[in-house]
Amino acid sequence: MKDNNRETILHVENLKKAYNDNVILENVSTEIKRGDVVAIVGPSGCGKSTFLRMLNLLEMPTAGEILFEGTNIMDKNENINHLRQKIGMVFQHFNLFPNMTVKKNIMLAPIKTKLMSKQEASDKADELLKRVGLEDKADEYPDMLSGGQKQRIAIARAMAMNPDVMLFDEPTSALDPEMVGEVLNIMKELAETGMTMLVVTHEMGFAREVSNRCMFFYDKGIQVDCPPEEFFENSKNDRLNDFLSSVL
Amino acid sequence: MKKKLFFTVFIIMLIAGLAACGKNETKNTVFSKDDLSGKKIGVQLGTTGDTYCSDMEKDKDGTKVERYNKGSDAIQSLKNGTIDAVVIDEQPAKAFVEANSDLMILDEEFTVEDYAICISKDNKELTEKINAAIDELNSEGVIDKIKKNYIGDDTGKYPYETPEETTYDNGTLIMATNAFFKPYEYYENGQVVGIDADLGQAIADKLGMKFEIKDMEFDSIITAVQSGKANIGISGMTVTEDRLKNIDFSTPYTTSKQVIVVRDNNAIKGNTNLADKFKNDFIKDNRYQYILKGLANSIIIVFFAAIIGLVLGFFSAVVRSWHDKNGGLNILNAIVRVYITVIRGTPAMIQLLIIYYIVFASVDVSKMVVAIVAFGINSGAYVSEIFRSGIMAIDNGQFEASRSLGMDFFQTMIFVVLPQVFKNVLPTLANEFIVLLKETSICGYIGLNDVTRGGDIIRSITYDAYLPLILVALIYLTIVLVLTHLVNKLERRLRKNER
Repeated sequence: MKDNNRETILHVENLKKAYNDNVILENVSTEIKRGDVVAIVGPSGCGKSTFLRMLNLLEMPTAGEILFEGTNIMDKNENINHLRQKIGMVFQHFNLFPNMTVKKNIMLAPIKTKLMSKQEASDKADELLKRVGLEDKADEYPDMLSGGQKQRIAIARAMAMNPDVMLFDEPTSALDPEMVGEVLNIMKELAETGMTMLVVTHEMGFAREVSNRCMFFYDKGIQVDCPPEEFFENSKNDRLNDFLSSVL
Repeated sequence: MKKKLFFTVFIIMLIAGLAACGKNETKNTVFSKDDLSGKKIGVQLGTTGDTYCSDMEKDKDGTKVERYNKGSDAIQSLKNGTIDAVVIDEQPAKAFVEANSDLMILDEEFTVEDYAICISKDNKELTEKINAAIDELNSEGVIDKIKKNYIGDDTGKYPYETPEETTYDNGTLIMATNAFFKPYEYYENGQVVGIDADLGQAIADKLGMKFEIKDMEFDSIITAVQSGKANIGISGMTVTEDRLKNIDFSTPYTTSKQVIVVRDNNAIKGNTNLADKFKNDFIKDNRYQYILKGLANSIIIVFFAAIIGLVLGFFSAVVRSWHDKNGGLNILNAIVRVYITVIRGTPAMIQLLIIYYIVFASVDVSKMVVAIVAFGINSGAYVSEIFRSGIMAIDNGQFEASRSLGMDFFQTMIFVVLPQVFKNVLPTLANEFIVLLKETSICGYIGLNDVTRGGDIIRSITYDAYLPLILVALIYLTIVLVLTHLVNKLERRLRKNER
């Protein structure tokens, strides 16, 4: 993972987000390489979720540039729907479609975006359900599932599009404590397959164990960006140390 | 459970109706024209009786004029004791009194006046032709025969017959009338017949034109002729100053008196039982057909109007949500907002009349199409707001999840959002269609025979308000119950994914 020759998958340059005069983020620049697992931490309200949501334009940046696999996603001539297919996203509140069975949830987007035929999507859904250990829930509706199960389905749904990068927006924050583990395990397995992941999280154990980079958001930008060992043991940033001592 | 409810309602209506029948005891107090001052007088809206009585209303002795859409409604109110007298044309008055033994006509007449045919001011040529035709028909004695066929002891002996050598090279003559005015125009076996109907036919034959009658409210006739919906209006219409400002009149074809109808204090109360009334209202002359045909029309109108409403409402709601979520579509959004504001801000009846008399003024389309379009447009505005509130109630996370998977706005709407919206708004939507169904009862204003008007026609023939009204009410109630049942079923099916 230390290989610096890995290709850049996301290039973020001077990103800014402001609501009228209220600046949330400013001068955010970073590069994400293929295979990176980035844990994004920071106090609430520091803009880490906003940053993540700008990467697939669920939030429109006020200024700056985002290149995804070399394509400027803010270019009006680029088809954002096409680009989003390659950027999977998992939400804090799962956002499963309550009117469809679990399997239909997973199959909908691949079929409607013409990525796969019905049969291919069905096979893919079976494979993913097995991977997240919920093949017996295929024909249940989301309302019948526990929070942890819902989030595992949401991960499978995002994976169904064969994305190049996965964004996780506080995936375990809405879960009961006993369900956090099952979701983190799935994410860990995913990381081990070499998937590029950006994870906004409060799970410091996960950050330390699974990520290869930890980012600390504070004061409208990225204050620290380093490997987890350094991040948790030897940081010279007082803000980070204050934050870590309050959450650990 | 449902059946019990239905029968309870039915029995309550029956009892209410019978109670109303029993209390018909108010004594008559009008015995001459002078007695009218200070009384409640019933007239037909827009007739000359209305004009004269309105003058009396201005004197400060408390005279009140009640204006009814139909002469038969005024007669019914008189029978119920709501009003003290009805001022109406002599011939229909005779027909009314003949059918109601507890009413009588005062010997002293109210006024004497001429009936004439109204023609658009823009069509002087037609006026001249019609005057010539009336002169000829008078000299040939045809008009006298037509009158004799309907008035006096020889009724039915002189039916008008089209001369054999008649040709129809000069187009169609459309006559507007209000067929609730026996013997001038009224329904018999589903056809508009009467003196005016035969006169219209005779004139059309003279002019070598095909003939068609359009039945509508009396106060709509002049508008219909002005707007070209009809070429002529023949409806026992008196020449007045006010009317002459808007329309031309032919030479008069007959004179009529306005007379005063009152309750007869000496009448022996006829004791007809419910079964006889039922036979008279529905079985005799197949009168149930009026309601049956009306019912078919009502259902067709509601069905297609609901479809138009759904499509329009769906489209408007999507445009507005797009604008709210993504920005853009400013012009379309503005149009939709104006549409919703105007439609929700004006009564459905006015919209129906505007679409019939103004929008479709110069186009010859069937009234059914007019009604379907009008009610569809009307319903769409309400459906749009129902859908929009449904869309707004869907968690934004649903949009975000769908968009993050790469589906575009419309795929998100159609496959993710709207199925959920539809389930949530179904009860409100059903409510809107129930309102729509009952709203169609105003179709009579453009002379369309819906189920309500079917009942009205029977009322105008039999002068019995009770059974036709109760039956029409029960028909609406039944449709609503069936509709509610179907919606509940659908709702249960859609909710199968919920615990």
